[in-house]
Amino acid sequence: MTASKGGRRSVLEKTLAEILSTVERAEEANRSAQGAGFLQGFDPRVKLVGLLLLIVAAASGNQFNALCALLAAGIVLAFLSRIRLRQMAGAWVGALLFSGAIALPAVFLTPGPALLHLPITGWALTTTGLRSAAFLTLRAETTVTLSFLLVYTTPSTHLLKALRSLRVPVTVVVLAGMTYRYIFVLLQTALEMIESRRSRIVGQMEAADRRRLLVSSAGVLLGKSFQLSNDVFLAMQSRGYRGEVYLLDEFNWRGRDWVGLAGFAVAGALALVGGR
Amino acid sequence: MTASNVFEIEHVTFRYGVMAAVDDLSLSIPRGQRLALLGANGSGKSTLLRLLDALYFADAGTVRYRGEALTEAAFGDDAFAMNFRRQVALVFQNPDVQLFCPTVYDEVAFGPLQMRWSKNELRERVDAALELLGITHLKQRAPHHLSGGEKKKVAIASVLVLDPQVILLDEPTAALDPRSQTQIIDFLIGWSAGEKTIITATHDLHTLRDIADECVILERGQISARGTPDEVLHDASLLRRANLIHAHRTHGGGAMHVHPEDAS
Repeated sequence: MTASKGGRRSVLEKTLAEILSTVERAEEANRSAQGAGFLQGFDPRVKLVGLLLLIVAAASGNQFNALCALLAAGIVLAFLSRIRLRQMAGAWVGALLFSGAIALPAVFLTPGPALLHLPITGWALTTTGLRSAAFLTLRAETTVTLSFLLVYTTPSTHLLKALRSLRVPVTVVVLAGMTYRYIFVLLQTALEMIESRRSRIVGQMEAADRRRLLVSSAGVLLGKSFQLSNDVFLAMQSRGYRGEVYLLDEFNWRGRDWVGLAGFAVAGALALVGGR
Repeated sequence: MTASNVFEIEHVTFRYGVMAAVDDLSLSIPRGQRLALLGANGSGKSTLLRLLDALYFADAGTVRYRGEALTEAAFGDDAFAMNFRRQVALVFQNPDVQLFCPTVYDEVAFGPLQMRWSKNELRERVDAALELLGITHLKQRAPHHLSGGEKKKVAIASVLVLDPQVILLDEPTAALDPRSQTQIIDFLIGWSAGEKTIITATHDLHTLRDIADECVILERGQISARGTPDEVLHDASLLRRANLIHAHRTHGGGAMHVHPEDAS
């Protein structure tokens, strides 16, 4: 990716970089999920149910130690599943920025003993506020870590099918699968459209022209996605689709999956009880 | 109507808005025939295939499959619709349209699942179709991770799994590299064995002799000519009129040169 004149990237270049980054992240997650590792060896249903239980425990826990233990467990599981810290760092930074932005006002607004006063404004930074902010951030980081584990150790296709074990309706599972599938087709289309535009643009565009370009590209992409959805429906009809969706739902449950499920159940119960 | 015809198309017209994509077209297609629908872009080939697959219904005229009119009312009957879908299959030009399932295995299993086959039969048929196309190693892959040639093979496997009597192919070799093109053509030659009806929409004249016994040339939704591949390929004025060949000067201003080279 080359930077445009003056070192600033244009809207097109930024969009292009975002698309490529999204595709690369999905590819990376897929490679990791299909690779060898501790969690990769379990049935997707075990991981879905087990990690969801830990996420619920993290979201409802009120004890600092319990949250720290869950985060540590998540990091150990990531290490055993051959997920690199570098891969998780992006998710951690995102969660920190997001939860930090929400938690920051709480540091000053939550009533409690003042730890110090900011110069000029004189705002009091309270210990209660700091504790609340730390909890929120730690909860966010823990749940992001556990969600990351699920995505990076389970192929997306298996993950979607595993949702059936939680009684998610088959139509929802099929729609989610098709959406995930066609995101990549549309990303590829968007990529080609942007590259084609870039090859015909010389110099810097005015802000108004950039906006017009972005809006017209979005419109064209919407039109193409509409056409695609019509054709996909015809292709489904052609192979016997009559309005009822059927799903091939076959996983191979083994002895180790019982052990894994029991392990998650015990860890989840401990976290729930310890987090009260 | 003769018993040996799989399709009878009688004065069929189909319009997109006011534009007639198929215009008062009549055609009989005998069982076991390998028919090529030739024509430039916009000549009505893809629309005709969709009419034959009962994805579109004629605005005027009748399309019959084995004597039964293909109408929306007829497709209201589940038994008729499922029987037809089992016997007639369409491979779309753009494989991304056809590959809508999360994995290759799911894709090939989609048709049998709609037919409510037993799990054992489904597994056997899906494995056999994957084996037939030589794509067993791809079965757990997601379609967006496949090459163009692999996607096309999966699309073909996904319809052959139902063992159809008629297969409709829309530009089967379009946008494929030469090796993938050869593999697809070789497969189609070997698959039919004179039993199945294969109707191929194409403007690729290089493969014509391999995939067809009979050719129909479409222009503006109407049949402008028909004949054997050799007859069509030797009628340069017909091919030029139908925008199927073009002449251009060779690099450096040399002699005029005709594409494709086997048309004369």
